[in-house]
Amino acid sequence: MPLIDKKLRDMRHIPEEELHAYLDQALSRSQCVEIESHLASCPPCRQARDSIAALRDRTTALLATLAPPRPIKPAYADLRAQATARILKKRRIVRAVGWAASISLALGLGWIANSWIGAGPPPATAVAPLPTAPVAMPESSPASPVEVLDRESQTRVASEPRPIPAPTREPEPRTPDASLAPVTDRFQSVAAGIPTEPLRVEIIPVQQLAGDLPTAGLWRSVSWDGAQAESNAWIPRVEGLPVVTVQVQGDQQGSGKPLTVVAQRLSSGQMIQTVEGPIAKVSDLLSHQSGPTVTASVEMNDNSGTRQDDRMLAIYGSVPIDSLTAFLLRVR
Amino acid sequence: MTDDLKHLYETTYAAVVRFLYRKVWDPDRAEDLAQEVFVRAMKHNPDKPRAWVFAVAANLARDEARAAVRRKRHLTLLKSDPTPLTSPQRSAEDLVEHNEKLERMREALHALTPRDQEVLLLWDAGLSYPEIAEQTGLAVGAVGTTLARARRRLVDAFDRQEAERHAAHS
Repeated sequence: MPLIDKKLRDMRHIPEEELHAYLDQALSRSQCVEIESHLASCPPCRQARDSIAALRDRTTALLATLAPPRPIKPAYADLRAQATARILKKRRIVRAVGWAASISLALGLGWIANSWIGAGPPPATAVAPLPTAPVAMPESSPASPVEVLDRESQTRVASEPRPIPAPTREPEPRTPDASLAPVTDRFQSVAAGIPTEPLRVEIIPVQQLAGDLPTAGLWRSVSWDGAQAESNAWIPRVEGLPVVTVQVQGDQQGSGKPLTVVAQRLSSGQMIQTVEGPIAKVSDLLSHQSGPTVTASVEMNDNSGTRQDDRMLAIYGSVPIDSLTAFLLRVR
Repeated sequence: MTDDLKHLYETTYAAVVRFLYRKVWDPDRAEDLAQEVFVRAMKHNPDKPRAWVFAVAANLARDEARAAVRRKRHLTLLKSDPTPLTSPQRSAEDLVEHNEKLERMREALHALTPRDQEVLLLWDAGLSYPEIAEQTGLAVGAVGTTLARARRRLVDAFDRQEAERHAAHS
């Protein structure tokens, strides 16, 4: 009986779709062996295989006529920057919606409280204690990293950033040329006139911050001097705040394009991180953060005089975005 | 994951543009949509980026087609010929011949059912049988059957048009 089964199986011709899958290399190794052994002893199936191979080639050739001109592929970093901008924009919208929802809720509670009290205070009084700053937040938040610069006056830059945004702030007139210019020359444009404070470094084991960083890639904790030597002597940090850790990822030797994360502690005990590196790496790191973030483009000249503009700087931490914006202007 | 996406972008961008071009018939629009696909992939960081990229490309192309249908409802005529591909090396006659062939080929492709078209284009874009199955909802075993039918129908449709053209010229 098994012998008859085998004979029947050998006599059965290979179905057309199996030959397509065989030629498309979509079958397992054992299926291929089975088909090949059948083909070796079955001329009609060999003929079918040859005609299917011809059909397959002809289809590919016909489809090839329907090809567009060879596309010009944009730089990966450009698309990455677009993706990051969208992520940050979405976060701002979510925050704005959150504030709007909280205000609506407060108004609703006030109205309910008012109707319960009956002859209680008028609705305006119930609304009065609400914080007014968040209402203005979507407009006062920077629409793009660059706009951060023109909305903050030099006076404000020099002052100590407050952890909580000012309740009301009159919008200041925009300066078009400043708003379009990227952050250049290591922020010297905004640093003019600000006295340099001596750097205070406080070394704390890196494990304390390890949870904040994505696991992908090898992170190294380095000394301040070592980090400076490694990244062409510039580790961006917020001036005037103690440095807790300096962490570096990638490019230990040579190419001079590491990703650096400087963690600094505010007087309130909160931490902020200043990140600088290639756009793709910074974007990837930011995609793991859920809190407020401000970003800026960076242009700098390397040793050979070639202009590098594929780098990005960002500050994030659990403080209001206005404070981060102010910190950004104090980056040295 | 970032490196995976970057590698995918470097190796698949042209295939995604080609896939989209065969749906929207406009090379510039195909490139715009392909870039949109990869920006979305970077934003979402999908687990299976290759399959994800083609699934989103197919959805964008579908949205584009719907928008085109809506436009057609308002405008009486907007013939959506594929943009003729020009080349300085070709003579005018060659160019006419080439563009006629392009048009016949396009009609042959449109003679297939939407499913056959999709499977064929996904295969031509380099997707494996399991990836095609996942995107189209077919069983993996049915991909070979669909592909066999689609290939046969495409060639038959094209040959039929060639024969009609020869009959018309003679």
